[in-house]
Amino acid sequence: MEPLKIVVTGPVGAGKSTLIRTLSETEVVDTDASASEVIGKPTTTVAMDYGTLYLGDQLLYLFGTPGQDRFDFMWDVLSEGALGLLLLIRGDRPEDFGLARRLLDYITSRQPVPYVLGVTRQDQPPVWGPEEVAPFFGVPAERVVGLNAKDPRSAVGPLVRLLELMIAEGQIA
Amino acid sequence: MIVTKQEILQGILRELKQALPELRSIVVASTDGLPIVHDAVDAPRVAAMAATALGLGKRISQTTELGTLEETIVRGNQGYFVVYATGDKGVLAVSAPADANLGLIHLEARSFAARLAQAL
Amino acid sequence: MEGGKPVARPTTQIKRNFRYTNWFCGVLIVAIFGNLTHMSLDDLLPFLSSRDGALELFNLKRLPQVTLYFRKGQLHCVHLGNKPIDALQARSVIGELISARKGSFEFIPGAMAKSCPDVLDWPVDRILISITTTFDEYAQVADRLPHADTLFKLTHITVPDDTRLSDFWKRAHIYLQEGVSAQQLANKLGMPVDHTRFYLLKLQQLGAVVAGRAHKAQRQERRAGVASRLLGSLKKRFFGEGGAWSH
Repeated sequence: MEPLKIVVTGPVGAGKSTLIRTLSETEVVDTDASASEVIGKPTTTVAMDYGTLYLGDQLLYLFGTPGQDRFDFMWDVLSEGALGLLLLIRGDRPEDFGLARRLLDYITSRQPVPYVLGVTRQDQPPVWGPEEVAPFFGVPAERVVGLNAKDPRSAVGPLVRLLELMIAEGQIA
Repeated sequence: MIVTKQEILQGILRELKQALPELRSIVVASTDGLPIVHDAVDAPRVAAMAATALGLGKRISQTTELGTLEETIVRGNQGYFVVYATGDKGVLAVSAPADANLGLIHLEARSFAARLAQAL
Repeated sequence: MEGGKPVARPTTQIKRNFRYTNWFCGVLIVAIFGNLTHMSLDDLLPFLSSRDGALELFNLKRLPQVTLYFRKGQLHCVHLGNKPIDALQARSVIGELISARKGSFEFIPGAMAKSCPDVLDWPVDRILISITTTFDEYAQVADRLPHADTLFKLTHITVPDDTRLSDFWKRAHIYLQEGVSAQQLANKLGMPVDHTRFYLLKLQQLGAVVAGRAHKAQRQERRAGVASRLLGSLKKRFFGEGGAWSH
């Protein structure tokens, strides 16, 4: 059976690499470089993060993209042929929502890929929650899920929702 | 007279241009894709791509046991794009026409990369 | 809000002139907040038009605290420094706010004005249209323009004829029907791409265009089949036999 690909994208510092590390069964292959800008952490992804997950007999690739928009060419490269897209944003950083929205608009307008938004830091108010994020991004409420990227049972939430929505859409189609 | 780091880097860039006049563009960038000095039309875009190419190249080199990465080469039928590491802090990306002497470019570019590594 | 804990208001103590309907144990829940440097009023207006409550703007460069009261998709009333203001003043305050890049905001759901002698009841999209589309604004939004290659499509919402956007709208309309990017429009209409990006941003804020979310029907069925298989395995893996994740 051909492997399937899930792409995890979002602004810098949203928790993409952390999420992939939490979900991946294999050691995550990353392409980190020292950050020359102040981004709140010492390194940043310049090409991709790569992890894998076996679900039953199906191999799932997890690809994380870089966050800064100077790496937008990687958004295209990585999301082509993807089964689904997870856009992660930090609920306590509304200043990144603009970039996240442009990123979501860009990828989903060019690839017919189902997507879900994951909003992190729900346990650390003040924080935007899924019900606020959904109308701001102009997406249906069921496409936005709150999570904690470090806890496996919470981190898997957006992926569960993504699959549920795909099943539901298949039934309507 | 105090010379800034930027001026030193610009000076090295000029010398590289003189040593290799056939180069179409030169970009020195940080490893996270921001341009530092350049002689190129779309420096921000090239800087990001060079960082990605080198970052990926380093990872491939590690995983497939090629030793330390020397350079990453993209070859099209109309030219080359080569990215060299300049120590840990930066990358040097050059583009050259298809008929350029790649061996010569490597020789010169590597020595300039070493100088840039010192200056960065 | 699930998972949200109530928080105390930040310490910039501001006198308030309205009554809350969203208190929890005597403490206000704030979940919509930000800074005008990164998220300007025109970014917020479309989204706020579906919510009742008060948007407070403070730490502004040239204005004391402003409170905008929204009700049923309209701007009901505006308070400046906790005093209600009339339509004329409101128009100029909103104009300043739209171009403001310094200041903070918080939205208090359900909050209502205690006193409102000059009821405005302006539909939010009218505010957006009447105050926007000047290139003076351009420099301020440059970093928030959509990607030049993002494809946009029409929605059912149309742009009224009397607006400055409408010339662009008329020329771009036919391309927007199938889906077009700022770069493509720039080529077809002979305009600089940054201008087409700017117009598309304004049309997006008005709800007249949306980033085309491409979805192909046959793929949906195939995906659904795959998704079913995966979901079963995923739940077993992370929640054990009989486990469930509640949203």
